[in-house]
Amino acid sequence: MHPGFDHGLTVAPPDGGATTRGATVRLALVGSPNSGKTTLFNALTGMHAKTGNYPGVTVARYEGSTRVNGIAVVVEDLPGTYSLDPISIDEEIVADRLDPNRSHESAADVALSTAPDGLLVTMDATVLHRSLGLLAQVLQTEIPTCVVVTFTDELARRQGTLDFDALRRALGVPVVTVVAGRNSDLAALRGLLANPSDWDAPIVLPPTATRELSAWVGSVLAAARYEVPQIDERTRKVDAVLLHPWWGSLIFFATMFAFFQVIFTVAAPLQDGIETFFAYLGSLVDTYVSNPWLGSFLSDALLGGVGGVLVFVPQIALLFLMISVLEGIGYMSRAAFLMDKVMSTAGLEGRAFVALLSSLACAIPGIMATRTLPSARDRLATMIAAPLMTCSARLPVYILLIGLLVPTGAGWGPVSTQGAVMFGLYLAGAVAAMAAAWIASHVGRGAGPLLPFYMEMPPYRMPSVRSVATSVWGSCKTFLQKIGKIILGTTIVLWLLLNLPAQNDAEMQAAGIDTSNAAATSEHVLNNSYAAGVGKFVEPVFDPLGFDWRINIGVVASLAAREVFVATLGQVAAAQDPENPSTALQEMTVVDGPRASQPLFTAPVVAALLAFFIFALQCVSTIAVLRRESGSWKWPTIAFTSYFALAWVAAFAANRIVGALM
Amino acid sequence: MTPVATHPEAVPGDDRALRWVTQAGLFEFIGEIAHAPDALQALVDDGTLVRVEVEPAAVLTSIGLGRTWRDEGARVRTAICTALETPLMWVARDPGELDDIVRMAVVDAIAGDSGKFIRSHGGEVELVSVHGGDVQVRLGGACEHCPAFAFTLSSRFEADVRARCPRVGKVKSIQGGACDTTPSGPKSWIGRVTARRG
Repeated sequence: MHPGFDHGLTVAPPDGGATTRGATVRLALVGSPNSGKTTLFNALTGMHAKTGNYPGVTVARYEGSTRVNGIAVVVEDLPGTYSLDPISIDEEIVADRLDPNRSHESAADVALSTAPDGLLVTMDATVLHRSLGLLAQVLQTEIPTCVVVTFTDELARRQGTLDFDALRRALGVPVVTVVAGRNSDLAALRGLLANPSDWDAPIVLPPTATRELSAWVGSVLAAARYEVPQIDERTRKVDAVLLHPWWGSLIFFATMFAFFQVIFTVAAPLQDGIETFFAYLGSLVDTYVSNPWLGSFLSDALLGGVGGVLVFVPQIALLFLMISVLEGIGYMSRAAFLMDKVMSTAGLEGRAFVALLSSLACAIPGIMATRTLPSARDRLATMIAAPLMTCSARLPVYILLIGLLVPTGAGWGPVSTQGAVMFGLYLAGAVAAMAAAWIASHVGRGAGPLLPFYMEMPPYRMPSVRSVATSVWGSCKTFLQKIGKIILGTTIVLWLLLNLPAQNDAEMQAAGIDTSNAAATSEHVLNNSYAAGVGKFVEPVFDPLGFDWRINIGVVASLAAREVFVATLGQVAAAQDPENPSTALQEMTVVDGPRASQPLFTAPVVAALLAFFIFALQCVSTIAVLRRESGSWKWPTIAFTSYFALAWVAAFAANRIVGALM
Repeated sequence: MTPVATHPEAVPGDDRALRWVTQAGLFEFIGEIAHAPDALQALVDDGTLVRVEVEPAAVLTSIGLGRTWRDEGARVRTAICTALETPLMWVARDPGELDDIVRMAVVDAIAGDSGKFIRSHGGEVELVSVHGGDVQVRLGGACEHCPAFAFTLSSRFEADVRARCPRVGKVKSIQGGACDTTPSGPKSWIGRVTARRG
């Protein structure tokens, strides 16, 4: 979810270059977007990819390794590019990598300062004519090159023709074909990887002059008996409906609606399973751990807090499963196309929609994706809007709160109310993001012209199980890592704050607490903890929203990462009723004040919390990336404070409106 | 005007030679040239190129001694591209007959893909005669009594010859008798699906 967020670069050992010792062969993958480059990368390197950044810019750098006949081969997946005359930063990187002298900065990284030993150029067989211009430029670098033709299965299905032997003769370089990472196809390619210096090279390099280039491209295609496949009839028919201004938009919303229904209905049984498992672990802790501190840490902090977040793994997996299936089929590009009109009302182009769409997973890749936007104004506006899109970190919070607000099973026929509310929340986030983009692009100075929007509509394809699985697993892994790092850390700190200062029996008896009653003592400890102090200190801010100090602790803690809110409430609930934390949450009552002993999570309070989470910028990682991408603290500060104010106002309004309706 | 398509291909076994593949039927002759358009003739005169020969769908060139394709390739390409724009300015040393051009196309087709296809499953093909642009071949071996005989002859072999030399007349097999040689009919799916699946 955070490509390139990690600064850890994969630095090859200084003597690791093949040029000096011949021990490691360094290859780079070059190709236009959607040419099957990343599928090939995954197939060649398996799961052994490392991510990092290119120095100075925030474009993710993917590198993986494999062994061929005992020789280590390092494969680098360069960003997708249509040409080596760079327009975007991604294309600049590809140009720099193929010609290290071109780079103005002296690269400190040895792996970046020398050109790769060989290049694998992926070419989509269904649009071969478009890839040959890039290939001509790549061959000009005189780095040994091997052409990998992809999607030949689709070419055959569309009754197109391509003679690979003739293509090989015409290009003068090795040509192999790989269909969606099929292992049988990979064998031929793998055989070539170890010795790029032995690859055939063209006797005369392809031309650069436009007229000669077009003569070359046309002649190579004719020699290879390449017939441009007819526009895929299936794709054309489907697009006539899916890109229709009315039907298309209707289907888009229906798809999205169904999307959130699925998240609730399909994931629920899995989630129940995980909950049962954690309850079982909790009973084990009760039975076997006698030390009260250790027992409290295990059952409250680990099982209540971290476990509370882990419960949402099925939903996260499902969200990414659906996103990657829609992406793999080719529907996401259509969605972006449909949204281009909507985006233009906010002064943005369809490409910005792609960035906002990535923000559904996480705002960070969304903010990174803004680098492909050519205009600085668009970039900033999209960056500012990205954190408002409903990221996957909000999902656990929403599910928990919706569960408190809407009883499970409520709905009209097959439509679940919970899913409908979730859809509404996502819609609200998207509308808010559009509005923020509109404001940012109108306030931003130096408004440039809107550049024309080109977007490739890939033909509809069945996504390969492998690439979907890779993407789902990758996302779940990132989520689990986040739990392991940020959430576990914050949870431990919170557990300490919730349980300190320690109270001895004498103090408690002095306060009139029956020390033989476990629930009463833990409630007393909680009420007098440092965390309670913090929660009560900020009470004046959140009191109008109907939050009590326990919710305040969660809200304050969630500024680090949104999921911590779930973990905090889990801990607080576990402290009150360790046996059954989820019921404890339902039955939690207000401790003091005018609403004392009334239920805490009333509809107005839950609505206020939901409204708060729609808008608030609660994520340190996002703030850090905003700072890096916008170049100063100005924009993150503006975003944080204005979104906090917006969240507060929206929560206040939600509280009052729902309160009035009840 | 769109440029005349051309790309260079290596000539197996001859490092100094390079075959500039171009569209079939561009020239009315085949064989060595007496004179080329100025841009190309200049390279012959200064010794960059020692041979320029017209083939049915290519121009065969050889680089002069002491020169390399690496150094001269770009210059030669520019000259070839320019010269191909004016095919009528190319003068043959020996204009030859239409039959010579057709014969060369048939020989190329037999040595090339369609010949390979016929041999791949035990068929045989040999040139019998070329007369007035009409071709007689002998299709034998597994082709005799094969139900796909007429199909192979017209849709595959004749189409291949015609791609190399559009001026070819009728193509017959002396065993199969005359076959309909109206320029290739509706293309069948078998001929079209040549894209391999890896």
